[in-house]
Amino acid sequence: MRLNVNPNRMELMKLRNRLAMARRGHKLLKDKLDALIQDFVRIVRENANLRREIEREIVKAFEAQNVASLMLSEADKDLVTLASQQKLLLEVRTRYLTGVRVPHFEVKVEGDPYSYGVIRTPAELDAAFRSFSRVLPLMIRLAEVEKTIELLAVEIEKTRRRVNALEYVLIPNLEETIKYIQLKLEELARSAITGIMRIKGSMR
Amino acid sequence: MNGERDYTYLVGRVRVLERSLLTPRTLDALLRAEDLDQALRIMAEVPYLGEAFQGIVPSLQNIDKILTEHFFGIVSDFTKQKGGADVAGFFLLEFDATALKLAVKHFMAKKPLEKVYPASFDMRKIVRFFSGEGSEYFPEDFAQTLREIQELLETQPGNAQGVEFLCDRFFLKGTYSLANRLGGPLRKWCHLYIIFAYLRGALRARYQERKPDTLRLLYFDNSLLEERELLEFLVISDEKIPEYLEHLGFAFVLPETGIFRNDPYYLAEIERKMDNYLLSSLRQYRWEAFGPEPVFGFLFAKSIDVKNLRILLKGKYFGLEADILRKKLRECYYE
Repeated sequence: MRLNVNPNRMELMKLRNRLAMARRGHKLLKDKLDALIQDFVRIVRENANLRREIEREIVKAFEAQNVASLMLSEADKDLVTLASQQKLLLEVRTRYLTGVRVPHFEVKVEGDPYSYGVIRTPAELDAAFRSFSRVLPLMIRLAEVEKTIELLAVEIEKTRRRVNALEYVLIPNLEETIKYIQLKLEELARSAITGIMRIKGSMR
Repeated sequence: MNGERDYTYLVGRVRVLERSLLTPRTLDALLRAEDLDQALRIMAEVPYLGEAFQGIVPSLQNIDKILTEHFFGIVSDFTKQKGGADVAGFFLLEFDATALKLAVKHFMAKKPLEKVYPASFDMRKIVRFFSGEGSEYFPEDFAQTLREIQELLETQPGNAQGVEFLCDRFFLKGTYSLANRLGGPLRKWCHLYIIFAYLRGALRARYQERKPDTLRLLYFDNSLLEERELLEFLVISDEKIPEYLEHLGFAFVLPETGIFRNDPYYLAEIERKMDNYLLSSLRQYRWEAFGPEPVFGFLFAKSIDVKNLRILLKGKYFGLEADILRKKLRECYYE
């Protein structure tokens, strides 16, 4: 679609500048899009591996928990879960990934998960607690990765829209308008020459 | 003579109540049950215990409440009978040790005691003691444990496992002195229980990579097992454990001869063997007409039944396979 501008040399110059700028922007955005997609694919793969690992561990943890809880009374369950010796320190930071601000969680685990007696609790409880304490930092990492994927996806979407807008709307419009102005100016030049020639002819 | 007469009355009661114990056939029927509803219908037919299971909402809390109340009811009832205080004392001590742990842990977690747990004392007294709200009276051994817990919490405020170890030590000490009061075969049984408790405690502490100082909290001076013998479990290699158990005379607790694996599922198998051994050593006194052994045997069988029912009913609730549940079940008092 042609832009609504006056067909003069000044506008032509402005539009040419805009077109050059748009092409540069388009190239830059396309590069950014490529980098974002590369990061996105890498993180999606990491996410898939992490999920597989968590699923494997969590199945083990729940199986052990189910078996252990078979032998625990409600009082025993309260006893096992009431006071924990383990402290989980979560530091929430942000970092930039191809210009996108993404979260970064740092997990520090202090102490161990076994805060219960060993004489009257089933041994499977140890397996459950060990598996769960292994899974927890992985789950926090998974949360970080999934949020990063979400943010990258939004950014990719936004960048792709910009690239498409430049590629299929702005640049063709500018090119069309420039072409139109060029034709218009050429036409003006031709009509001016014709006018001059006609005046010249009438003077003879 | 008086004591024997008291036990005769208790043995008479046991003969009636024994009908409520599970048999291998009941266990098989429960294992074959397709779901929890069917298992509860089977349970409803068990004498004395069955009534409690009739028409209940099938939830884990309800099942556990019924089982706990049923067993605590029997233990409290026996405690009130003449001559029953010592026989049921071991089981009451188990409830008391759990209640003590719960009270201290509620204090540690700064949570109000909202639930009522079965015990022979008022748990709020413990919380009041630790909060420093007035001086409460406690029996000497109980007071001693409370002071030890207080000292531990002053030096290591978050050491929840240390607290549990001290409470378990109180329980084992109580069992030790009970053994001396009971005498006869039950004395031996209590001693065996203490040794098994130490063995399973030491093997679990080994898996949890505990330091000797932590395990030391569990130990009290006794003639059954020396402290260095107990702590040795933490330092020797896996390969040496069967040899060491052989040296102590307890190699039979290993599921596979001469093989030890530092794995919770293997340790669970050891615990199961210990429970079965404890039950079988009481089974031989089942038909004694005099003495506390059949009464004690019945109560221990009841505690094993409660454990088995928890395994079966919760297993059905979780939809676990019969084979998994079978591996966890303890033997029945009735063969």
